Amino acid sequence: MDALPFGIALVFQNFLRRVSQAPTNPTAQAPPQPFDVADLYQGPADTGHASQSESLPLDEKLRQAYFWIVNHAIISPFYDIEYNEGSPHRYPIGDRRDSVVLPSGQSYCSFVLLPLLTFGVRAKCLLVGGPGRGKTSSAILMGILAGYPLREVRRAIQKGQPQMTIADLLGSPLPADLIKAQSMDQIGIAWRKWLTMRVKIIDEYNRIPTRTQSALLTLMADNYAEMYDQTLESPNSAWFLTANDDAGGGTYQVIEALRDRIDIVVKALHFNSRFLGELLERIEGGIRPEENVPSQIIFTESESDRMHNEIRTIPVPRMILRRLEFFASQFEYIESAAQQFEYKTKDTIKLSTLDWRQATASETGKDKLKDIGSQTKNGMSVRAVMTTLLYVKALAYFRGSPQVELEDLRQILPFVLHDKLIQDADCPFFELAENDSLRSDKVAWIRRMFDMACAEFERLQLDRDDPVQRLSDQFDAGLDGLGEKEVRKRLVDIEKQIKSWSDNRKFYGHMFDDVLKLKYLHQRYTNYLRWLQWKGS
Amino acid sequence: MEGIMSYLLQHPQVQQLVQQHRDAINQAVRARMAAGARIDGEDFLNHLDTSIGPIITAIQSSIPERAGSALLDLTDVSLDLLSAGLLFRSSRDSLLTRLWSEILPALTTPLALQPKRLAASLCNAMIQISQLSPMAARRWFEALKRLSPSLRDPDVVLAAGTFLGWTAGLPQYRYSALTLAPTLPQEIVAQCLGMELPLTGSNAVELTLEALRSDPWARLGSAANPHPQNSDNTAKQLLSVGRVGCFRGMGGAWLAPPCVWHSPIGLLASDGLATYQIHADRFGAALTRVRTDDHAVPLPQSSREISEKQQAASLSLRVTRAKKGKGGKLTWGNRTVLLDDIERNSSLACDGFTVAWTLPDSFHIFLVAPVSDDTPIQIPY
Repeated sequence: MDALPFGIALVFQNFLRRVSQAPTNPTAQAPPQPFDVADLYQGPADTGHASQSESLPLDEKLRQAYFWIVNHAIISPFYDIEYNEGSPHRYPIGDRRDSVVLPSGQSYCSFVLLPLLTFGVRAKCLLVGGPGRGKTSSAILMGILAGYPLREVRRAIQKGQPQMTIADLLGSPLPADLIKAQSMDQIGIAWRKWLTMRVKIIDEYNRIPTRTQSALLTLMADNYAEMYDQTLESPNSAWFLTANDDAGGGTYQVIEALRDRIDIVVKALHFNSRFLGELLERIEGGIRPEENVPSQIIFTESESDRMHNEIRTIPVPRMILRRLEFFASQFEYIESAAQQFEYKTKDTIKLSTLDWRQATASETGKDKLKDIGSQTKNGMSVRAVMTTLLYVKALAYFRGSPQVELEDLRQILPFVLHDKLIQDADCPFFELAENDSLRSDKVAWIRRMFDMACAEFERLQLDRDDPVQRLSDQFDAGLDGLGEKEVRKRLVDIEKQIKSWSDNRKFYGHMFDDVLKLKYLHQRYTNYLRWLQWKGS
Repeated sequence: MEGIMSYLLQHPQVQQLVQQHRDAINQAVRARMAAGARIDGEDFLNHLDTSIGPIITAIQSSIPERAGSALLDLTDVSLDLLSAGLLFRSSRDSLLTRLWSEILPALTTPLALQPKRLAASLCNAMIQISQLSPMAARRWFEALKRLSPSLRDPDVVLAAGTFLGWTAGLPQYRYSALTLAPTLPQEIVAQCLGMELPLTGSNAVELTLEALRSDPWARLGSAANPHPQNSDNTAKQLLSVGRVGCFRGMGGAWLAPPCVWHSPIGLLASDGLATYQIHADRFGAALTRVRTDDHAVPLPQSSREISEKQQAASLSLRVTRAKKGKGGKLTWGNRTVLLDDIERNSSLACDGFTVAWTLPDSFHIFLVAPVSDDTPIQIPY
């Protein structure tokens, strides 16, 4: 229907600037809103006035940003981060009978959500996928959400190319200073402006030469840039790096330290051809969403800071943390790696010159179909654990939850560990017909491992009876006032526990950290006992 | 087409402006429809012709350089409302539609300065107030219509709108209105309060506002009697001033007969499921939802406990049976009023200005206050 019998327009503002009405995630727990006089002028008509968003909590603003992006900016109609309230409908599809799930709760697209969470927690996100999938566009939107004008964001993008030098990346010394300077500290540096931005975008980072990658590493790892003995401190920022594949292939191999600095890997999903009509509308209408981001969802610097702090305060319940601990403890132990107990880790093998298969050939005591640790060639690093905790808090914050839930952890882990856990594709686990697709689908693989770990956690009833936790809690209560008799009793308790494991010859991966924890407690008590005895004498 | 666009056809200047912006308007409509909004094109054309057209004519004659942007902004606001299922042709007589045809054209200057903000805010307010109280909505509309020709600044319009929200019968806006009052010209405040004009040289408005700040039932001053308390008939009597609240099935708040009590934030009422604050003054009575964990006073355990505690309070409230006939007598200090059924009350509370009481078999909250008998009260009974 023609509203007026005229042609097709180019100007297009109000449609794109519509922001989803709050609350965007109505939950049963939401308390009734108290009366607010500001509500008098709020309603279905958009006043275009900033005050409409000022009273909104920042988590609601983040959700509005998400829904604006998925509804108007990036055509990514996927819900691969699935939440359910009650049982979802599942339909086996195809020869393999893998299920398509219709989630019963509010679910999200990882390609949109995870960069947004990265923006919130100021972490480093790698967007991977084929060319033309929207990786750079997604990163640009994050820059606009941070309050930078579109032109400034575009100009600040660092485009990886084989001739990129450190000067291209960081800046150059001022020629006049170079001539006049008597010492290095007299050389002024014209630092590149992007270094001080709170959102940094590196396009095709795997096309940056290795030498220049090292300069980038310093900036990413330590938030400073150095040149001619001059340093520039860079603010805590959200980083968005893009690459056409995540195996590090490209013009240059990405140095491992740089790859390790990536906190989360997000895949750009394919374009669903059923949404071709929307693409056509954009072409015909000259629609450019990045030019029409509503002001209501743009975060000021103080709002970004506040949101970051609010995310960090989201509590992680003890039982959720225990499950993460249990999961993380599955991967490190490998019995044949060393004689010294502490060195029985996959790191020991990696640092040696031994071939992995040869080193693990003698690991015959494990049921490799059930042992989760057999599926990887490495363990979870401290950095990976910290990143996981930060992102689960961010996800809980985004969903408006007062605390982290188990499903938040289950959804986030695969994206954080995507590049961090190295799969042992030769593990018998992957030989099973129903598991062979997990060789390529790392998200599903990691999620499966987490589910297996949780099932094992429940089978062992560790939420009800965890002797190591009991002994840890006892120790955490403090040593002040503890007498020699009590200390000796605790030492005996620890020794009994370890003996029970020793007598039961079956030793599982998750027990490795337990043994080391008890050894740690034993040593602390031993030192304290010695002190008591010294004090007594 | 000609029949629908009759206004534009008769006003070539406006028609020319619409022609200039036809692409943008067309695209805006199409984009809404593409997004799933159910907009009837005829409704939009009708609204453009009958409502937006006259407004643009008025703006063109006073601030012609702003007419174009005003046209686009008013189109956006109209599409918002049409998308929400409002402003259709059959709602010609609705207050929202009449806002466009009777009030906005009179706000030419402020509308030309901030067309989107003003039009959207006033429409939203019309919708909000209509949902809260249809009677208050009609009063608000009529008062704003009277006031519009004298309003020149967008901020003043919105402040006046909030003030009128209070005086139209929404006492929950009382505090905000009294806070905004100093930002409004005195004659505007006087008109909002319904005070007799002219008041030139009189400090009646200031005195009235001062009185209303300390007493929600204060009289309004006038040129003849600027001080609200200076009147031969200002001896206050305890009177039943109305009631508020009803059964949820009838559009009210309660699933069970409520009880009332006094808390640090004011008079509260609850049916055990939801808690509301009672607002009452000479302009109206209303209930607004509160969170029960927001204030220090815990929820009472029983209605009898409330009644006993309030009766024991130092507010000198007493309820006794009437000597003759049925009913009871409420005594507050040295004032007394006879009220049917008050002797059966299930709860009684007072915040120093208003007494609220309830019956065990009624969903209403009855209100009593010390007022001058010439003080018109807007609370329905």
